[in-house]
Amino acid sequence: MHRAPGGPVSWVIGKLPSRKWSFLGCLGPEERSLGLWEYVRSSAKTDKSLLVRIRPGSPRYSAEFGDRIKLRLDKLQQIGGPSEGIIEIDLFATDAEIINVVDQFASVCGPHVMVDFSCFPKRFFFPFVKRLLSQTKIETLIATYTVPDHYFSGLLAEDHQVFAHLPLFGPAQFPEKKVEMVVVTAGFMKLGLAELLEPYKTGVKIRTILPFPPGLPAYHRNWEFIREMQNLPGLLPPIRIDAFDCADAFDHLVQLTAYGAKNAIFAPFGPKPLSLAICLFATLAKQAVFYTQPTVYNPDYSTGIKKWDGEIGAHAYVLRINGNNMYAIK
Amino acid sequence: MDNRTNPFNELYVSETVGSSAFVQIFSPSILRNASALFLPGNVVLKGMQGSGKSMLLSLLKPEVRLAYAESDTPFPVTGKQARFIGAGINLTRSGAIDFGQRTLDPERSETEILPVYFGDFLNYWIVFDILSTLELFRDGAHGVLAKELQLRADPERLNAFVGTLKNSRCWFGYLDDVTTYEGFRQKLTDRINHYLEFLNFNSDHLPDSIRTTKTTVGEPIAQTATALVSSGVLPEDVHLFVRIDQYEELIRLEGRRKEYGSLFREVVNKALSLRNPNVSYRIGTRGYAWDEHPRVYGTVGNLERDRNFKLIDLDEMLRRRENPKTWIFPEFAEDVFCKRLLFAKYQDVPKSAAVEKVFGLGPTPEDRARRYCGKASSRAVKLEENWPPAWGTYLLHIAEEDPLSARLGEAWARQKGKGKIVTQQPDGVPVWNEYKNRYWRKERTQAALMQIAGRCRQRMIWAGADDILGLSGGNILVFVSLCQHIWSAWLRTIRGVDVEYDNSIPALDDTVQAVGVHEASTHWYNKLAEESGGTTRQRFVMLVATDLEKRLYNDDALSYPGANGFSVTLDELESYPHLRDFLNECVDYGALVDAPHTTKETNRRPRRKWYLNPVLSPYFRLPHVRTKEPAYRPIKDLLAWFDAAQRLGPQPATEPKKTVQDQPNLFQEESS
Repeated sequence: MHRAPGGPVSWVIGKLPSRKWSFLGCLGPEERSLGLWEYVRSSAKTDKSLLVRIRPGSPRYSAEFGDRIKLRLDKLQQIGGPSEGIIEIDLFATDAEIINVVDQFASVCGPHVMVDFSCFPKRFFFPFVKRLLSQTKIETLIATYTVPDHYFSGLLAEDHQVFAHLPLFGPAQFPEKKVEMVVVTAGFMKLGLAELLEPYKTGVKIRTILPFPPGLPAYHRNWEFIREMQNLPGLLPPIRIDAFDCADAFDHLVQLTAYGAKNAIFAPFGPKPLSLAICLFATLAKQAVFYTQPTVYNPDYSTGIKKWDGEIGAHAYVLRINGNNMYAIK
Repeated sequence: MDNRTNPFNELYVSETVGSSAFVQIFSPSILRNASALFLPGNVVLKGMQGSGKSMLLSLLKPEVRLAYAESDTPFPVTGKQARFIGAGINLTRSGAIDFGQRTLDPERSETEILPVYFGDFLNYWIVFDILSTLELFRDGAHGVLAKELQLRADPERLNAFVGTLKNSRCWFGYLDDVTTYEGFRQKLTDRINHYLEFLNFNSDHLPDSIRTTKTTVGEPIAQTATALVSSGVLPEDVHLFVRIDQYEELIRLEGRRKEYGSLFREVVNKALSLRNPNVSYRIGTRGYAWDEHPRVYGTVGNLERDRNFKLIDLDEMLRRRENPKTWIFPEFAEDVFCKRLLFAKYQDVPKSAAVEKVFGLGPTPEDRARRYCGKASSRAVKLEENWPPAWGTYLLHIAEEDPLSARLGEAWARQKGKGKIVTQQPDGVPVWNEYKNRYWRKERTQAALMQIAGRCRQRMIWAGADDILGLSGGNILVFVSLCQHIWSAWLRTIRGVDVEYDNSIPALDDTVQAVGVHEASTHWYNKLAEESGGTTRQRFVMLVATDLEKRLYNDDALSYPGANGFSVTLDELESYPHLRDFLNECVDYGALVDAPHTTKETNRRPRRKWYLNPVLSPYFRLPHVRTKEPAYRPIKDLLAWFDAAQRLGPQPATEPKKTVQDQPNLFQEESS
């Protein structure tokens, strides 16, 4: 058992003084998408920076998206733009196009990098983190997540695609080892989960991770997510992990898979910090991660930014310090 | 045995049920109508989700064949038809659909080279799978299958097979340095691993050894089959069936890869267009997904039915016909039902009519109407102010005994040319109940019941074997799901009752069935959104059903009792290909069912009609029985539904105001 450093952004940054941060973030319709950028920018500790704007995969809500993006661009005018500008990319860009964005950033970034995954869809932040970890020139790497005031209570995402692995997280070995376990983090929406689990209903253990705390109201939606899986033969009792505790989730994944010896596949439907744990583990264990990518996201997926003692409510997860990776399987 | 187990908990009988369980619960009754699947020649098996195609295709899988051999259960396919080995590829899970995610050769056009690499990947994957099947049959079930099929997979013969195969020109020299079977296997593995490394960005280039030896789709597979026979590993009469799974998902690729998806389908089509006496392909696909792209890669030609492939349309096969004697689904469902009960160790399962024994015949229409009304039978009829009081009294009097008849009487009086009855009340049998009007009555019974339930604020009742089979709509997955929910409702009613040693099959009460049916219907409605791209389809179904329900409910004269479906002319529909494709998708994903519609209009323009998938009817309080003419709707109505389905949903126009929280939360807020 190990504890990788992490905590409120202001605390973590305070522990890593005299660093200038290269910043990779997402310019999205949510207010929180610029929260970290504003925070870093105001600290005058910025190095190279890039924002990625993801074009929606469907014309649905295009007017609402336009409105929200305009608000964010106005805000950006006040804060100041990133040094490398804003890159636009389609939600359904090819893997190569996605890798190209992060590689472009990696080619200019300094030794201390902050990747803000608050608003990146998984098909972006998974390969981004994996690719950044592979860069030896990066000495410090932290991943940040801004907590919004509220999540929309209705549909957050719609019209998902068929299940597929996330970019860079496909089956890496042929013939594939027998899958022994499927790890699913419980979220609000289980778009296509049944389809994803279909081949793994027999002879495969299905382990769910229930984000807890927080309690209500998310708790109901998470339990509903798990309840609908109740008839699956291999379903094991859920493991409760704090929705923001990436390190604890990582440790559980290590234990569940016997230090990566058991072949598992992952379905990250839950909170993003737990998805980050899956991303880190699957990167190290070379295991596959599958997801059913929604085509449409609600333009008001979340609203506002949480404040903690007057500071931005954001978590920072330290992935590397002084060239040493903080997450390891053995 | 504890009787509290639900024999229908596991819905699927395909790859999701372990091979040994498959052996016990597979129903062979559908095989009689799908024998082409086990005969040489390419076969496309069409059907919506749950139609049983995966179950049938599972019989081609070596693991399932082996499970039959290991359990000493006779394989459901016998004689010449059983002389086959199966291999295959799942396009999604194998990574084949990842081609196009990165540029293969910056010097050349992607659309030019991608199909070639995709085809090459398919070839190597499938050839490897053929070897895996041979090894599985050789080593598994104590060699029973190898003996039965007369396989000779000893090292000498396998080496001889490789010696023959490697010299084929189809490999372009890639196998030149191979000398043994093990070496051949390793060479295939290496090649596929090189592809996976490249597609996962773990290598920057494909090795030259691959770039210079790309194979033509289908050729190495055909050569492998031929060499297996010529080297004596396979007898001449053992055929090779190659499954291509997830073919239909190629059309759902998004972004730039949409174009590639079509190309990949052409490549698969090309494999089907090659005719080889030893190899046939098997493709399972949703109905319309197959029809959309028949072109063969590298040619201007299309695949031709009966020339290049045989088509088995399961939806068509299992659909209810006007003549119920030709409807084969009830027999299939009965067999599945019995097998499930036996598998769950229920006793006294009858050899026939088990479905009827458990679910009964259901209440008669008259009984249903009486149940809806309860003590307030007068609510079944709605009287017009200008009707003579005696007519009202007459109807209300009938309603006391037979509210359905009273409701039909009300409708009779409202119909054109029949209004005079309000002044000439019948002395004996009311005219609408006379034998000569039996069809008039039959056609309106379901709509009348729906209206009575609505007027009495009651939920409609679906119960009895006929209703369960009707709601299943010829889909075995829906049937099992209905049984599952009904069983589950029943198990709730016997909680606390000591049934530990009672393993006799129950006769389920109508009210329990009605609860289970509503739960199943709600489940299927919710499930619509869980399918790929399903949220829009779910909204569309909601809009259509709400419109149909409203009109049918307000049709006091019961003039359009068939309006639980709608119909449009084909020429109108063809002008809106996006709408046509969307409706086809609704059918493929089980939201709607469709059929050609013989028009009653004088213009004779061909039409097509659509109904809700029957299992959704209870959720929307619409009768599932189709009777008379569907509603003739102008295309603009469909366009309006489609448009609204794409737009509808939560549309907060402005960002909500921030709220000031005086009291902090015990826990932090949730995240996603």
